[in-house]
Amino acid sequence: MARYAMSIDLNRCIGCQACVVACKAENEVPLGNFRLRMRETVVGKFPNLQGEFRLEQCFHCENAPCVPVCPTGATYKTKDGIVLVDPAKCIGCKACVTACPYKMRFVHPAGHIDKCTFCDHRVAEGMEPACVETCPSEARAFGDLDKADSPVRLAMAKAQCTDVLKPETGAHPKLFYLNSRFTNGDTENQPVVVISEQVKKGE
Amino acid sequence: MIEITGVGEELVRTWGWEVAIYLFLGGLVAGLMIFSGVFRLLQPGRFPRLLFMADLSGFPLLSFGMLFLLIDLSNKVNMWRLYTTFQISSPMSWGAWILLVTMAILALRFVGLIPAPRSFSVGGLHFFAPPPVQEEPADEQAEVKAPPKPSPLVRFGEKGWGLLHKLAVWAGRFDRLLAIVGMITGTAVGFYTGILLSTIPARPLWNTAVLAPLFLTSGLASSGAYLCLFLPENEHKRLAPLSILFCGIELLLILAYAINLGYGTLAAQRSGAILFSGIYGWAFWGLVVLLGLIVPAVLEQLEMLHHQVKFIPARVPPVLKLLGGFTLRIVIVYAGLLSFI
Repeated sequence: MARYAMSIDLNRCIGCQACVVACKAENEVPLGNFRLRMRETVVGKFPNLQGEFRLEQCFHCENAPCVPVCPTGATYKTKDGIVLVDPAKCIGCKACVTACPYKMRFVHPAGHIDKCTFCDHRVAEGMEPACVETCPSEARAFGDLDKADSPVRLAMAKAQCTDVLKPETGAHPKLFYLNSRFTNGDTENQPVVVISEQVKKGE
Repeated sequence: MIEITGVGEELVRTWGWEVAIYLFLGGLVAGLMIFSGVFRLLQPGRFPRLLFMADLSGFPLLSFGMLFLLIDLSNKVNMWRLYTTFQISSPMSWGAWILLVTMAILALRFVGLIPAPRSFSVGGLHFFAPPPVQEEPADEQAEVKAPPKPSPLVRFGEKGWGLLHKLAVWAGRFDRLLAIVGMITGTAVGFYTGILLSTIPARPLWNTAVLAPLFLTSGLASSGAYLCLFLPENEHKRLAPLSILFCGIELLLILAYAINLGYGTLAAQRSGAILFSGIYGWAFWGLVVLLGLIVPAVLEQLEMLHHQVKFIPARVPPVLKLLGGFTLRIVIVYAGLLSFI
């Protein structure tokens, strides 16, 4: 029994979004939907600018708020700590979408709820999730949190600082941000521009 | 500046007006069940019109509300899954089962209104027609003509009505029991409409214990207003003190809600600002509090003191209260979806 987790070293991430594309291709995520999203933060005044790319996806929380609210048991946690949705059981009531503090779930065009699965089908075969494998700057690491020599634990041990998003929710997310300048910092309340809105309109 | 690529947070589809309609109708029917239960047990025979309207409206109104729940589901083909499991931690699972019991009770009450079968004709079809009188054949040798066989539609109609009437007679034997169970399940439905929202910590506007009693009280006020629309003046006047009392309790709960949000965490304060200011603020203070609670309560109080405002018809306060009750659900659902930790 493992406790799978992921880390993203934000000092290494170059914002190429290869992980977003790899996820879409690997999981056949339908057009207009994404399981991963990138938050690009730029602060300061030219020429003194600081920036950061933060990739967000399902955080596979230890204390996942989406699991207990599901009325049919369609959202569940595997024994390895991966939070999954069973489309055959999902009625699309959107209780889990509403309950997710990170807004990382969406309605699949087929009707059920969809989100990142940590590529459980690949993990079951002993492979890494598609986003981890494809990352050209090796910013991502994946593995068992309970094993000291797993890639995720090694990456966390090397990092200057480790953050999780919105720790105050008590959800205990298992996606860790390493060496972040802004996560949980003052930039959280900055104005947000949603680029995908333009994509949806076909611009 | 922050830019987001991918599935934008603002584009995530969640709940909307469909759920708000259900929450309103659920609360309304909950109130009808509680009212009819209380009057059946405490003052039997005193409010016949009230009981008739409650029995007549409960089943169709809740069915209509549940239809909107069905519309909201994005994977409707799997809806039956709700009734193959019971998830103890899921308020929605509790709600699904409570609704099932409630619908059964409301259906029995609705069927109870069906009168005993009697003869009538529709479109040339004669239902429950008396058997034809056999004439004495003139010739002893002549064959006795068998009466014409009724059409399958007539037989189906007669059998269906007969069965429903038998069910109504059977249910009538448990009138008091149905009243007690109806009050319990009605309270559960009214409370549940608030619990559904308040058990979601990711939405600080909803995540408060005040919401369940607020929705239950609002449901009672709305159902009182709904019944007043159909009651004769003498019954209406007897209900008015109760109606004013529920308006008062609802105002107190709204005050507690506002204090709770105002003195809460930063997330709660931000959420409170969404509800109490801007477009939602206008709807909340204007339509819910002023027009939906204070104005009708004052008008009803004047009516009780025999100072009825001449140019305002008696049906205006109940309509305002119903409008306020519905707006309360709409603004809380939509403002809550904008609130975040």
